Amino acid sequence: MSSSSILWAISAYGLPGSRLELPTQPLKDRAWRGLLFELDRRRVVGLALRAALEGALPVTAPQIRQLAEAHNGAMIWALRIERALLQAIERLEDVGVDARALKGTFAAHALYASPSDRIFGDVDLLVRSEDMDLAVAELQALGYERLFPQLRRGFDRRYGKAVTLQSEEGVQIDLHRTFLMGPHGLLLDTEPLFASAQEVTIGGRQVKGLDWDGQALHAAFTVAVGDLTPKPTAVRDLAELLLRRMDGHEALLELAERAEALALVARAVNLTWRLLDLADILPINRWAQRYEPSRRELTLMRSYIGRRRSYAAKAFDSLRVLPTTRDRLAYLWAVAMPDRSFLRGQKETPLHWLQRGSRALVRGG
Amino acid sequence: MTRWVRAPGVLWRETFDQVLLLVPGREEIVAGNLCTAAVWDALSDLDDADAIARVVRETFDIDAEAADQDVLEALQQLRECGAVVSHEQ
Repeated sequence: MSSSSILWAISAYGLPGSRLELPTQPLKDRAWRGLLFELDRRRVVGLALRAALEGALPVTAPQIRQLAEAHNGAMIWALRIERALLQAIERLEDVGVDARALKGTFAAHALYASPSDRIFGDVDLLVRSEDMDLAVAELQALGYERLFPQLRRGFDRRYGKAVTLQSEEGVQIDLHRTFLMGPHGLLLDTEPLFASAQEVTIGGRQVKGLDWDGQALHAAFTVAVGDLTPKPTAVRDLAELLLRRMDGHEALLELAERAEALALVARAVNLTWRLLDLADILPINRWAQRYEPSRRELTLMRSYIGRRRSYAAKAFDSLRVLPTTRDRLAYLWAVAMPDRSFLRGQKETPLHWLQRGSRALVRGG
Repeated sequence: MTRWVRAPGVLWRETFDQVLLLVPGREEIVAGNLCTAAVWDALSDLDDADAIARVVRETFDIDAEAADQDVLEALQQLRECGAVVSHEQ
């Protein structure tokens, strides 16, 4: 068995309906070292440890010790991240900013048998566009620093995906305005996502996340185009969500349709079923198998996946979806001629930045 | 009678053979052994050391005297690090 097939079998461990199989014998040392490295890097040591403790993943005594050590390290970091999450939410609440926890910090408590099963590396929060500047300022007042300046004043609030801030101890907070950079991030109206919430308890405190439809939409965006190779954690999150609701996916599809993201959701569902080899046939995966993306949907996806995937291509395709000429001009101006502070952070000159962007667009075709 | 309860705001995780605790206002993460992990788990719905000792006794199949001693030590360790508070009733 290849390291990759074991990794995906572990990612599916405990999920009803997965036909992926784990090895029947402990791996030899060299293969084990490779697998352990991947489990740690792809953040599935929690599920691996559970599988080993429940006897589904055969391991030797030294191997389980190594797995436990890797898991311990991830858990220590998880606690620091959760503390940062609670501090950030409290600070934002104090100034009237409504935030929703996204991804690992929320999913660990909302979707998994134990939060120790779901590994995460940073805090992700969604805030409304109009709260972006205030939220960034409040987190800076807590001691966080932006990793990069914004392209131009007002860009984060109007067109950005997220601002990444980092604390002195290295904890990063991704403050999201939307789910993705580029056209699909711009097409998503996040306001309806704030209309309701699911809550989990972390350290005795209620933490708001998106409701089921919002979580599923976000996980689908991440699986479909967030990375060239989908992250096992995101795929598992989406499977957990979809398998919990055997039908009644209409609201999710309505949200996706409004964001012109039906093709993304279909791709994510198909990828999830394939990568985790799920046997169950749900209405949503029957729908996804039959879904045929329109020409426009295929065009919008090109800048995320395949040969044209690049920052410049996403910027170019963003122009297709911005609603007004004023928006398009402001966006183009910011992307083509960023502030000097941004360029300094990127170690770029204005001319080189323009040349690099043009080359990337030409290369993409 | 002494009642034991988890202090508010403590973050925690179960691992292979420990419980990890991060107490508000403290920088270091406290690692408790298997017995402390069982005690911490029992504190989710019990507040009496005798009842917790019974759970620990059943979990680890140890005699009553050893369980009482281990539980008391674990509770004291948890109180010292601020993860648990106790009050007389």
